[in-house]
Amino acid sequence: MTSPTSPPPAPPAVQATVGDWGPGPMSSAPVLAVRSIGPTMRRRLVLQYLGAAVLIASIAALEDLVPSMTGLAAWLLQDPSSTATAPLLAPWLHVLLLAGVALLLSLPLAMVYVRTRARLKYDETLVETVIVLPVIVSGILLVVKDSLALAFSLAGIVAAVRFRNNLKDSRDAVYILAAVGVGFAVGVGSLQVAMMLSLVFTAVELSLWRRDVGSDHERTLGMLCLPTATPLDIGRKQKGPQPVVKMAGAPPPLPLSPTAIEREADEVVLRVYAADVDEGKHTVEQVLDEMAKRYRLHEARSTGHGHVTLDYVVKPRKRHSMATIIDAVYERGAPLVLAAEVI
Amino acid sequence: MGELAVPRTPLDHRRGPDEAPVVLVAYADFQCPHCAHADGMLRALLDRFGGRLQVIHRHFPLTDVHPHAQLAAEAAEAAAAQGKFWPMHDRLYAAQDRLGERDLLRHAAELDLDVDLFGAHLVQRVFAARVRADWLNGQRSGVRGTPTLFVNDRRVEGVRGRDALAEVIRAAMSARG
Repeated sequence: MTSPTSPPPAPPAVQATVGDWGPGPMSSAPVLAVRSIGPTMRRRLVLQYLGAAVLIASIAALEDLVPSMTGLAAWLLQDPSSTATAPLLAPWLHVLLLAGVALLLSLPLAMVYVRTRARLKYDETLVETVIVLPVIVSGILLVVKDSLALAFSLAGIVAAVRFRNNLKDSRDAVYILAAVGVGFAVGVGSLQVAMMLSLVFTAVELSLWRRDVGSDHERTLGMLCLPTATPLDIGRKQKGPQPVVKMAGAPPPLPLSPTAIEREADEVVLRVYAADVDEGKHTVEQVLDEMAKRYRLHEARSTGHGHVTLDYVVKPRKRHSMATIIDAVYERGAPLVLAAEVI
Repeated sequence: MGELAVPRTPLDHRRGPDEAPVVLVAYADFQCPHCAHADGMLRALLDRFGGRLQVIHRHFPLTDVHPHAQLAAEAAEAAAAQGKFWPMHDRLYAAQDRLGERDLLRHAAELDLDVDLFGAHLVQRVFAARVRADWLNGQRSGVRGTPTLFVNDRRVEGVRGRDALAEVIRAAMSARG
């Protein structure tokens, strides 16, 4: 077993005390980046499902007094030929209760969508759709009910109107289907099915998200600690030069240097971390000769243990971005250039 | 499968011989419990493969979820400056619930390091740039969590358990002939 780092030359002796770091407010317990829903969301989900359960129980109790839902349909359609008994419950109230159930069962779907989608994939119009769709679907089914003629009419109307829309994420289609499923079940009066469908969907989606199943291929040995707010597209292959990505969990940026850097508005500071000062400078300056309009070495700092930091003030040429300059530094500098960034 | 953006450098901390046909680079965080678990597996694999495997540690502190990870990484570098990277590395993983400032000084004392020098390095953030460099090249290689392993510059994905990882290493050995 070897370690390439050799004992250093004696640096200036500095007395260090624990107090130099300040009071150290952070807990020493390890923190796991586990995805979880917060107490507020948990409370809201429970309240929504409780509300839905109470409404369903109320409707079931009332329906014991009403022989069938056919009466409601007949009343709504004002079909004089219908022999069905009119419901004891006022139809408008019945429809309102069913719409309430549909709404209460769709809200958890929308909440889960908002919580589990990464910012880049998030589609705010879908949230509204998922909330409203079950209400509309259940309403349509209440109107159509057993009428074949109305069903054909509805199909004709739907065919006439174009609903084509590209979803940002194919998984969004699942939410649409779940919303339609809930609305359908409510519309045909299978309220317990609607409740279970919403509950199971919510539980499964949260479970998949919590376990980060979609990115399981990234895990090594089945385990991975993640920063709390990881953009999901980091690490995916992208065409062209990689953008300068800022990511949660980054060590805090280092101070530029003890002296302020004087620079023009169109100049940036390129910091290069290298294992050898001469090789590092040689590589970077070779790249900058090609890709920069002008540049100057502001500072070279060494830790005294083989590691050196080079700060260049750079004005890139018009046809080169800093991202392409960094790409070139990495490409030509290996293995003596460890990293490069714009600060 | 992702590629390692920066292959083995002279400053990397290495276990195992340089001439080993398989080089495993691990991006890890001293406060990450999965990294500690993975490190145990890597040590077992080093024993199993003898001189045919080299393991490299690179820092990838997830500072927003592991508040002590950055300083622990700098502490490991400060220990490296006194020739004791791996003893400090093992100690930090073994005592993940003791990574506070006082704990780090205690670890340094127990490893017979020059505690004044060690503390001075930490206070002056001498090795913050070194840790930052590892983090940056990890990010460039597509690392977003810890532990992330690369075998012969290729990212290891979807491997579960020591035996599966051993298979990957064996396959890399075969590919090298």
